Amino acid sequence: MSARRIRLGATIDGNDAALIGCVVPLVDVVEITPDRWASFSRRQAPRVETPTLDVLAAIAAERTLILHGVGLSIASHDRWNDAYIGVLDQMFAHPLAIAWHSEHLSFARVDGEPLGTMVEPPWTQEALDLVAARINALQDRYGVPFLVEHVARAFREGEENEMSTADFLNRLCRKTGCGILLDVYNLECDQYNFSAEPSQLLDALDLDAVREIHVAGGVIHKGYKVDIHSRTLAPSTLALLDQVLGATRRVEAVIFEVLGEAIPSMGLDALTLELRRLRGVLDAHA
Amino acid sequence: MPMRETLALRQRRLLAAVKGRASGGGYFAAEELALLRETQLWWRRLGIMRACRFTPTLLAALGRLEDSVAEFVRDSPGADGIEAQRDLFLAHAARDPDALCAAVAATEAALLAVRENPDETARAISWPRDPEPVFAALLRGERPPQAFSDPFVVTVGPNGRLEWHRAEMALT
Repeated sequence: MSARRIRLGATIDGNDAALIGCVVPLVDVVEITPDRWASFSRRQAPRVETPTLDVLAAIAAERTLILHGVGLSIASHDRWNDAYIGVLDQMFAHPLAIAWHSEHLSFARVDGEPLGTMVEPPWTQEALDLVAARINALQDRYGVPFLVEHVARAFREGEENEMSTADFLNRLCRKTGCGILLDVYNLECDQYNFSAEPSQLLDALDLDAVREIHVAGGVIHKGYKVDIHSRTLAPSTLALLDQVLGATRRVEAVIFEVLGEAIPSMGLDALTLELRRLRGVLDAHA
Repeated sequence: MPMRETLALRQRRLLAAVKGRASGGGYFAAEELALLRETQLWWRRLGIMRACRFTPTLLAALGRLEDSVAEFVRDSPGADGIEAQRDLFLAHAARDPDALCAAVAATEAALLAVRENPDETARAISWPRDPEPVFAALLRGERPPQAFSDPFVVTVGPNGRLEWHRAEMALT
């Protein structure tokens, strides 16, 4: 039996040469958010400029490149965000060798109006059918694996739901063949904000569908643990990651998410130390 | 009722509730909406502070940034992309009842417009006071000092050059 190898990755949140120079040598996988690399001019549709594509191509020549979107709004009742699809079309048309891509299982727009954040849909058959059809369309359109990420909850699981979060995700994976991006920090947010024990999801989830894991450090803001990736990892996050890695078998990569805005205060030295610490955790599960 | 309408109705009610335009009720109990509101306002503030400098610095120095962003979110349809959102926010702030805030926002909007489109024509903006100490303070991230001053006119040229003079001089 060959040794398990879980790749280490990090987000590079925008075209920042110093950040790229720091992160690329330390990781196996670079995850980028297309929305943060695209230009949103007032006079034309969002697009990734050619020099930016060249930077991404240089990264992809050295490391596995994956995309993680925030702008698709895959669970909007009316339609997904066509402008974001335009950015994805442009990236997939370029020879960037994108290994896989992912998106949040959420809606961020209602009738075309941005909500300003990502919210989980109610776990209903209607939402399941809607999202499954869109995932199938994405997989047909781009021909690379697609993963969905559960967002930090906005609501308690209540009577509006026809199934649990885990049941929804399991059915979605069975209907489409997509994978799951498990966000360990989001589980901690749910635990802090809604007393939702991580084991509620983990015990019921098909863990073989989990192909990528996110870890991040955030803040408590006005009494809430907020899904904002601005800090290094808390010991509790590393402990939960260790637990999840012990329970999963098919994880391809663990990604440390950090906002570009947080880099000046965190510092590249701290980021380097964090990635080395994470590498140690992953090696322990090899 | 068709199933699609159920999801549509929920999302529309949530949008109205989160943006402070209507009470959510039931599923959108106020206690739970607080987290959602705080999260989206946090992201909006972050985006605005990333995309422009002088206006959020001034509003923060005056202790008004959170309220101003909340008003903007309530009154604006929002936009995709940080630049488009920035432009909407600056347009909102340029209507601020505080004349200095309005002037700073209008000037910053003009500077950004020129930077992104060399074909922009010159814009003249009325200021309630001498802009020089205001810009100096904002560049240091500080609240502009209180000062008695004549009104000024600031002109943002097509090349991005800033010029200013006392308003009285413009009238003579």
